[in-house]
Amino acid sequence: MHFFLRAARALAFALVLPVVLVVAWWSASASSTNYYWPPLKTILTTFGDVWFSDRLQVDVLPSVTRLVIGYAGAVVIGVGLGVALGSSRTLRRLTEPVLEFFRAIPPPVLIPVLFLFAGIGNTAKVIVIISGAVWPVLLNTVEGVRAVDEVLADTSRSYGITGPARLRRLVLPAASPQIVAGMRQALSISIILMVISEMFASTNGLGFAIVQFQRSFAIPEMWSGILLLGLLGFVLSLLFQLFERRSLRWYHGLRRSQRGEK
Amino acid sequence: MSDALTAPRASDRATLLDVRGVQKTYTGRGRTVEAVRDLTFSVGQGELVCIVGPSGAGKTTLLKCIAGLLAPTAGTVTLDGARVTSPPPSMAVVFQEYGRSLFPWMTVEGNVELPLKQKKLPKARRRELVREALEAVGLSDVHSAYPWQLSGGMQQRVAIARAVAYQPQVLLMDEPFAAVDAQTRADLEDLDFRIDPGELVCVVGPSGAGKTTLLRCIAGLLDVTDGEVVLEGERVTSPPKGMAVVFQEYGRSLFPWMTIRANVELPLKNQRMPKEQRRTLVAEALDAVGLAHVPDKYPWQLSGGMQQRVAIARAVAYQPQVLLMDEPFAAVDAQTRADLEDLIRTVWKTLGVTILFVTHDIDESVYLGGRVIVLSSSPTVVQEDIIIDLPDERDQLGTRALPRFTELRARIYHHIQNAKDGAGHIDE
Repeated sequence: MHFFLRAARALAFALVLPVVLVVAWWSASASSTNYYWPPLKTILTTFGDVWFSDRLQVDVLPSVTRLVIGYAGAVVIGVGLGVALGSSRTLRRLTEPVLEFFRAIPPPVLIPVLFLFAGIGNTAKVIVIISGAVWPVLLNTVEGVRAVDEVLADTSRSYGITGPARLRRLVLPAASPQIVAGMRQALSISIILMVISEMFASTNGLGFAIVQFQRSFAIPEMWSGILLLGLLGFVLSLLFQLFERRSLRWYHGLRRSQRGEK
Repeated sequence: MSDALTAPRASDRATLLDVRGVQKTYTGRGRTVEAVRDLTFSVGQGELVCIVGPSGAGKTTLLKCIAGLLAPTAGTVTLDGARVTSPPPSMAVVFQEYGRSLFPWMTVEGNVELPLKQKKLPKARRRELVREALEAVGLSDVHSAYPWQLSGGMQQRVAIARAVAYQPQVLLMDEPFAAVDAQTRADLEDLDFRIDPGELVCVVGPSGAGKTTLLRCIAGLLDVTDGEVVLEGERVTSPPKGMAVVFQEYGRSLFPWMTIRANVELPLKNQRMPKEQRRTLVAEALDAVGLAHVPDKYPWQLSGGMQQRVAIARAVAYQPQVLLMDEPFAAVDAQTRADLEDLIRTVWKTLGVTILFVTHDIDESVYLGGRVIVLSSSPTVVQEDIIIDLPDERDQLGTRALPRFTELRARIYHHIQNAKDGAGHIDE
């Protein structure tokens, strides 16, 4: 009983501000006659008509697929390279200037170039997402791997935990808090790049649809697309929090105990 | 004595600090924990009062209440007639965690000076106080170093200097020396000794003697510049299979992402030992250290003493020929320490394992060891090799009260003092 009471209170706290904002938007826009600023009611009605149709399959699904593949690619490449760079000083010194240069290139400017070589298909868009989202994962992994506790490293060595076992049992778990922090940043970058790459040259996708609506003056439809993007980002971040809470349970517990909380 | 260290300023009251009916309870996650209940005492001007109690007694909580860092649930703390509700300017606290109480982005000087800047003292006066305080703790030479460049003991000296320079009326110290160890970069020079199978040998020496370095060389974790370490006729160049190490930093030697059972099991898994056998060994080891009831907890859910028991269980389950222990009990409280010492004696006797136990505590070395090797200060040599001819059955009160115990202790103490004076530098 106690638990439900507390859960209800937490939920109430989380909902207060969104509800206030929606009500404010609703009442402020209710009597709006401005063409570019339609009433929220109109936007919401349009939302259902537009997105619960075949657009779900034509636009939303391709976008999400590209996002998932690009993000997964960025995580795999970032962690893989990060572990290699974090473990070897020589490798770090060798690659640092080059990596700094590539990191400094804003990914959106790669879009026109990539489209020249890879066409306007899915591959190019996935590459754009990877090229931007890989950096936070890579850099955080390098830091995490370099910061593996000395005593833990000695413990592993003295018990003969070396080679692949060391990577799996010591390095990756020890670096996981930093890796996850990098993955969190990479997720929002991935969403941004997914939309931008679709706005440039595309035949489907959420970014493409929103630009189409805007160009054909379908203003409520355009707004509903922006709302959908917001919701997509929100759901993904919720899923990420769930993942983080599960995978880093030990880390949060450790931090709590270090801060002296029980 | 310098101005920074003079007695507290005059006051018309005899009682300076008054703790009356202090109570502190924590509530959270549906539980209420009473840390301190109805505590009353007072401290006079210029007194030096020690508070002792087992871990978990609420000593730190009490101290934080006195310091105004925690609000007591009931009762009052009065300093010089005024009720303490927030940290008063005339109090300074030295925490146990020296590593986390100094600002790592500031030099030693900067750390000591910071509270004085806050007090808006003129620059010349600040300089003077900082200089005097650093001189008083013997750290004048390292005033422009950063805390993390110093050993644990030296870091704690900086924290003390900071408190002293602040010129408080009351100086509160929360187990300031509990975590101070013998961190060192000292050189070893031409050390020679051998250990026979089944021995329990303690190595003692002044801080800075290089005890940890020696142990890391024996464990194969550190290459020796000259000479060799030989285990059963084989030269040690990397961590050998038949050796297990228990480190001082229990909090950092257990994998925080694994349960207790997984921690103990990991080295066995790594050896590809069959599951059945693994399970049995883990259960036996946990049972031997009295932790059979918490296999599914995580290390950070346990107290320091229990965490060190897990590390011991892991070493025991590994079935080493040689067990190396690097000041394993330096960071646990006295009561737990006594329990753990007895545990080591039991493990040694029942398993017949060879143990090399490094410590800076003379009493501990005499109580535990069958033999004590005394090291000198840097550059380190074996100063003395003493057979401990105490009865094999040892118990905390009886053995320590024996005249022979006192004799042996005095002898080792004497050697270590000599070693320190001979080297002619402070004990870092």
